[in-house]
Formats: sequence, structure tokens, C-alpha cells
Amino acid sequence: MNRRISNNIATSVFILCAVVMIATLVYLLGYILTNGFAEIDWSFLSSNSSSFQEGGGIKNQLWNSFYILMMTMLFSVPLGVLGGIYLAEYSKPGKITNVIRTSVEVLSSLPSIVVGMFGLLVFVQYMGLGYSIIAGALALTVFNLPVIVRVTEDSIRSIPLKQKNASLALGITHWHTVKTVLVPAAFPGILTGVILSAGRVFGEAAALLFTAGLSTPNLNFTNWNPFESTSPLNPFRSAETLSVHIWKVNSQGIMPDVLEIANGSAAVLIIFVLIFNLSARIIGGFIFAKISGKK
Amino acid sequence: MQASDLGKEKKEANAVSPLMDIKNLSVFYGEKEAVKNVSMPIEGNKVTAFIGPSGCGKSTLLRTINRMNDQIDSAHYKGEIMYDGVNLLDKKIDVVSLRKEIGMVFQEPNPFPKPIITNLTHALKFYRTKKSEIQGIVETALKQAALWDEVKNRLNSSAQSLSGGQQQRLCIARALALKPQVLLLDEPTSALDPISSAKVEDLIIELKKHYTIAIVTHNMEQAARISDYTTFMYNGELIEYGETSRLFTNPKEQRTEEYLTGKFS
Repeated sequence: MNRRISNNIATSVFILCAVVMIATLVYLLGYILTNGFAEIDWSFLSSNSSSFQEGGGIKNQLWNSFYILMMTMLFSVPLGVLGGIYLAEYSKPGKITNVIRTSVEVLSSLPSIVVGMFGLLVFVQYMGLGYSIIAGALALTVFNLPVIVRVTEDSIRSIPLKQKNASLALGITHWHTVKTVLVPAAFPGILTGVILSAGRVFGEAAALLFTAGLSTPNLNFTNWNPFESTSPLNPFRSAETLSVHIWKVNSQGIMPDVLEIANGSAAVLIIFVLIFNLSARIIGGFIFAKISGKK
Repeated sequence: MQASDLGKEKKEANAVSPLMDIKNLSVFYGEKEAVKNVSMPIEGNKVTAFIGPSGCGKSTLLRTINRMNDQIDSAHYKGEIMYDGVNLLDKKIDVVSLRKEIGMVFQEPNPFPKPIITNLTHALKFYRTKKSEIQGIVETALKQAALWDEVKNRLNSSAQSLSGGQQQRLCIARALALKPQVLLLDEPTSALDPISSAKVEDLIIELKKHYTIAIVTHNMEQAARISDYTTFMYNGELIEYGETSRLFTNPKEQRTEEYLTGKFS
């Protein structure tokens, strides 16, 4: 009887925790989406933001978010994946490896506002990039790199050793084994990690405040020459992203529809992050099925 | 076993010089000596079995022949393994081509989680085999491994959809596709059911016509059934080596006899 009671209590506690967790999530998502959904229409997504009047949109901010995300991924994915492969396959246990691994861990636990300050000092001022997309992307690379290194290393380490031995015993070089056996087998895991980290980068604000800046110049969406100052592609212009916009509108906005803009922007942000997360699962599963052959 | 005895054994075994000659081989993992001063031949186109209790060093010895122990940082060697006029333990040996020539099949079936055909073409592509030849090599290897009839209609299915026994034969086929001289089998049937094991055993007997085979086995009956020569190892030492029929019926060493009769294991 006693054991049955303790068993039931344990079960109930776990169910309760799960319910609290799910309820919080559903409430949060529901609140943001129901409040924000009404604000989202085509003109909201496709018009410029306004500083004083009603009815501003988030076109530039949305574009900036994607542009910075893309550039961050361009820097952090190759570097992070290669670094992860190095740690999993090439590093010999010893002092240097420990230093690298500790650095990665420290880097991943840095508060993003500190990464922002670091970016301000190094990229914006020391390297003279100014408040710019490229400075923002570099700061986010610092923020994102450890995640990708970790995900890659873990995915490769989780592949059974017998797979690696099978390839080596066939007289295949270490590099070719890494390239054709280990990385393909780890690919779904790496891809999932990369897409999830993209969601994190997309929603990041603090690291961008001092690096990409709080404003966007007037953009001319017909000018795609990256060297012109009004071009959306110019990496050296300042750029306010969607999450920075939410922060700025909420703290300093003087337009009458502050609340509506913030709600709408938050909903757009959440929707994109949800899309990233869902596609990570779907694409990862799909690719895994594809490379392992039909059942 | 004394060196002079070994000499006699060699004569009894074969008058021609053996394909591979292991001389005073010791293998260390850090301080620990896992294989102690072993000398023995491995005769060409014969099956040589290694028996002995767990941890006696038989798998280590096998994995030293194709230098898979190089994977372990603390592993180092003393002595020689002479093969084709070269010492396989020489630092200058290209282990990649060595492993192509001396194939290995592991205890647990380890096909790549990819289509059946890709398992065979993986190494062929690495060695830039001509596309026109690949199809023929794949078919021959699968036939040699007695797997062709079972998989010929589903070469694009995942290798993981095969049964354990089929997976192990696929691993043997994968090694055969490279046309090796020697096959090292590390307890290839210990993870299989009796029927699959029997198939793999038949296959080994068939394969010795074209290949030299060294097999580590836990199963003494298996060694007796399929091997021509048997090596009994204990505690890293080679206790006795000889023709299988002689060693099983008339062991010279007391410890061999005790092991064979089940006094210890």
C-alpha cells in the first residue's frame, strides 16, 4: 500500500510538472500570437517603420534580421563545424585540447550583453567597422560559434566507433572516413543544431544593440549594389533588427500605436522562430531517412 | 612453448615458407603487456584459429596485424610481423594500403547505415575503381559471401534492414570487394544465432581456397570445425601452436589440454 502511494505521488508530481510547463508555454505563445496576429497584415510587413505617426511597418527590420542571420551563419557554420570535427576527431587529449574546450564552454555561457560590449570594443571601434551589419554578424558569430562547435562535436561523437573502424579497416584514410562516414551520419544532428541556433540568433537583441545599432538608413529596395549606402545589401550600414525594434519601440517609442507595433513584431518573431524549430525536426528526419536508404 | 618446439611445429605444418611470419611480437597498452613475445607463422590459403580465454590477447594480436591498434594512443609494439618481405610494424608502412590488402571483419556486424550497394562501393569509390567494373566486383563479392541471392533484388535497401547474419556476410563481402590477400575475422559469429553462424562457417571454409584467413574465436568447436591450424593463447602468451587436428586430439601442453577439456575458461 505504502509503495503504491509513493509511486502514485511520484507519477502525479511528474505529470504536474509537465502540465505547468506546457500550460506556461501555451499561455505565452497564445498571448503573443492572439495579441499580435490582428496587427499582422501585408502593409505591416511591407511598409517602413515610422517614428511619430501611426501605422508604421517592419519591412526594414525584418529584412535586417534575415540579412544578419544569413551573414552570421556564413561565418559561424563553416568555422563551428570544422572546429567541432577537429575536437571530435583530431584533437589529442591534453592541455591544448582542454584549453580549447574550456574556451568554448566559457564562450557559450557569456551573457549576450557582454558579447555586445565586446563587439562594440573590438569590431565597432578597434576594427573601425562602426555600427554595421557586419559588426553585428561578427558579434553574433561569437555568440553562436560555441553552440555549433558543441553540436557538431556531440553529433560526431555519438556515432558508434564500429562505424569508424569499419571504414578504416577497409583501407580508407582518416579524412575520407570523416568526410564520407562520420559527417554524413552526423549530418541530421548537425543540421538540427544549426537550425535551432538560427532561431536563437534570429531572436537575439542584446548583442546587437551596440554592434548593429538602433537605426536603419533609408533603404532603396531597388538598389542591390552592396557598395551603395542605401542598398539593403550594404554590410557596412547600421541595421535595426526585429528584436531590437521590439525593445526600442517598447522603451523609447513615441508613436501612438506602440503597443500594436510591439505585439505585431513579437508575433512575427515568434512565428519565424517556430518555423525554424519545426523545419529543423522535419528536415533532419527527412535527410536521415534519405541517406540511410529506404527501409 | 620453447623456440625449438616452434621450429618443429613449423616443419610439421609446411615445408614452404609461410605467408606471414610473426616474430617475437609483444604488444603493449601503456605499461600493460597484452601480447607477450609471440612467434608463429600464418600459412597461406589456410585457416588459422586463435583460441583462449577472454583477455588472453588473441584479439589484440589480430588487430595488430592490420594495425587497427594504432587507433589506441597508448598502444605500441615490439618484434616483427614479416609479410611479403616487409615488416608490417615498420613505422614507414602505409597502414591505409596495408588494410586494403589485409581485410578485417569485426565481432559485431558493422555495415554502414546506408544502402546495401553503397556498403560495397564505399571503398571501391575511394580507390577510384572504374564505374564499368564496379557492378561486376559487387556481384562477385556478394556471391563469394553467399549473399547475392538474398539481396540481388534489393541492393538499394538499407543495410540495416538485413538480419544479423546477413549483415555479417555483407561485411565479409565488403572486405572481399577489395580483393584482399588475407582476411582477419574477429569472433565473426559471436553475435549471431546458430543458423547464421553455420552459414558464416561454411563461407569461411569456402573462402580459404582463395584467401588466407586468421580467425579469433571463443568457440572451440568452431575452431575445430573450420581451421587448419590453431593457436592457443593464455595471458598474452602463446601456449601452443599446431595443426588443428593434432592440437585438439593430442595437445602437447598441459594448459592446452586443461583448456580444451574445460578445466578453466
